[in-house]
Amino acid sequence: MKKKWLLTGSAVGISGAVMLATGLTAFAGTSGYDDYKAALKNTTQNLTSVTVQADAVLKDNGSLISQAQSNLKASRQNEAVSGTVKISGKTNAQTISLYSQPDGQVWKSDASDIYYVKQDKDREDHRKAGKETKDKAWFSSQAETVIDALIGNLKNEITSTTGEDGSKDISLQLDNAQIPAVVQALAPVAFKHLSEQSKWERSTESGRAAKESNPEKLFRQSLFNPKDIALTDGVQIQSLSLHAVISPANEIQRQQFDITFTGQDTQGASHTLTASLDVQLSAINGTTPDSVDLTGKQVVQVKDDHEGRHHE
Amino acid sequence: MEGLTAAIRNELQLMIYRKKTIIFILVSVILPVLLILLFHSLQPILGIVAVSPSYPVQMLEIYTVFLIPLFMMVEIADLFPQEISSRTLKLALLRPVTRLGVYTAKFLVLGIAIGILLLLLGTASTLCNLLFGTPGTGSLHIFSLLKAYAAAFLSMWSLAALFVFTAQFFRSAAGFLVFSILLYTGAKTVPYLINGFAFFSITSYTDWYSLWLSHTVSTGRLATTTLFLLSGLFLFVTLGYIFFDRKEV
Repeated sequence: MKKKWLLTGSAVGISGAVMLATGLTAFAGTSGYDDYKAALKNTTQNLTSVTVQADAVLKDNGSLISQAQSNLKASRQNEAVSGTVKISGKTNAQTISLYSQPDGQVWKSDASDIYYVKQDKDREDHRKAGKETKDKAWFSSQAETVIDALIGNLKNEITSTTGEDGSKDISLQLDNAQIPAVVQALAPVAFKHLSEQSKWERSTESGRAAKESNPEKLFRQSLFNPKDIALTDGVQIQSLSLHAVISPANEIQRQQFDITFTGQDTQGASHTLTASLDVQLSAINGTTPDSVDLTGKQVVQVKDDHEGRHHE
Repeated sequence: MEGLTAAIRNELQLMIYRKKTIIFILVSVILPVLLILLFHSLQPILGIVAVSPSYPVQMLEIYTVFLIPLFMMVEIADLFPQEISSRTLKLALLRPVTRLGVYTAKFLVLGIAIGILLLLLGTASTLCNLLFGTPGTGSLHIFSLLKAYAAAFLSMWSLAALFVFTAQFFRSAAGFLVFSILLYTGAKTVPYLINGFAFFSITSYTDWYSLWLSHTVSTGRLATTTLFLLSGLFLFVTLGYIFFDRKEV
């Protein structure tokens, strides 16, 4: 009898200890995910101003559909942004300068001398939201737990390599089969939404004057024609990769994101769409956005007719 | 040893004679097709979901989160509490097999049943892809497919060990079923509330097979996770045995 107890007792003891030990290793082991999260927190919390260089490319079967290059200076203190965005599509290319200040936004296309001004009325409301910081802190820590749980075992697929100077290289590479079914199911929904939006836009725009030169609209048109990428059949995320460089000061310096979709259009031709985004942050906390002086310039006020649709 | 194989054969036959088992086996053959039909009917909302060679692995998530845990709870309810409440456990114990033999046979048969279910689900999903798949949507190596299903089997068997342990506290099948479903959903929800719980809970490893498909996950991580699941399996099987051994029938 005693021998039996010894046997079962030791089996329980050993397996329990191993379980605890391996669980603790997983718990204590820092994955690339934790490194990335820490850097992201550090960057967003301490950030007051930054220069952003972003480059977005959309390709269909290897040929360029649209490309956007932007160089933006942003400051948190006075909520100001300034910079240029260059958009080149299949047919045309254009550069837009924009200045965003607390009281409104100013847009100007390089092709003309007209400044478009859009006043923001609901900014005031945003300011008031600062009160509930305590609730916010609790909420953000809770949200973090939820996000951690949602990411689950994908956490382990994020790798981190530390360079000689203390900078870190974070990368995540997911193939078709590894992408959770929920995310995979969202891909067709996104495309469906896009193609519906393009229909909507076409029907509303046909009634208006063709020479609408509001840059915001031009911006949209030349960004890409949603019809170009309207995949309707067998839409799937083929691969997804994320790459980030974290500086020795634990700030995110560079962020690359690539996603590849495959699918067929209404004619049954198969497409491989590749979207990639490359964002580089520099001059962290050492950037001053430019401001624009509108006196003596040709100014056109723009009404907020898109406001409702932005909040969709 | 002879007693054990006889006990396993006995338990297997018992399991096949239960209607529930047959229903679950049928469901697992039909489910992949049903899911495809579901995706087709959801087309107006979802658009068309592609059925690609990775369909068996994508659907594995649904199998390991819902179908197989439900299957094992139902089977465990029949293997332990049901046998006690209907006083048929005595019959098994009267045979020239030790209590350990009876217990091991029950647990092994459970493993075999889970294995068969996974095999059926995998085969049916693969066939579904061959029949309804969208052509030209990439490929998945058959070896990675087998790896994913083998990994899913290990996590499911460890989960079964946890439920076998829980089953020892129940004398009625219904009570156990309700409690185990609550326990399972509870254990699945806790990680959303408490940080770090997921590392110590077997229930959060139902989708760990995706690690085996990765190129980047270190072998160390794979080894510790495998070790975690194996030790969890041994721990709960042994704990379950301690209670099973002391049980008065």
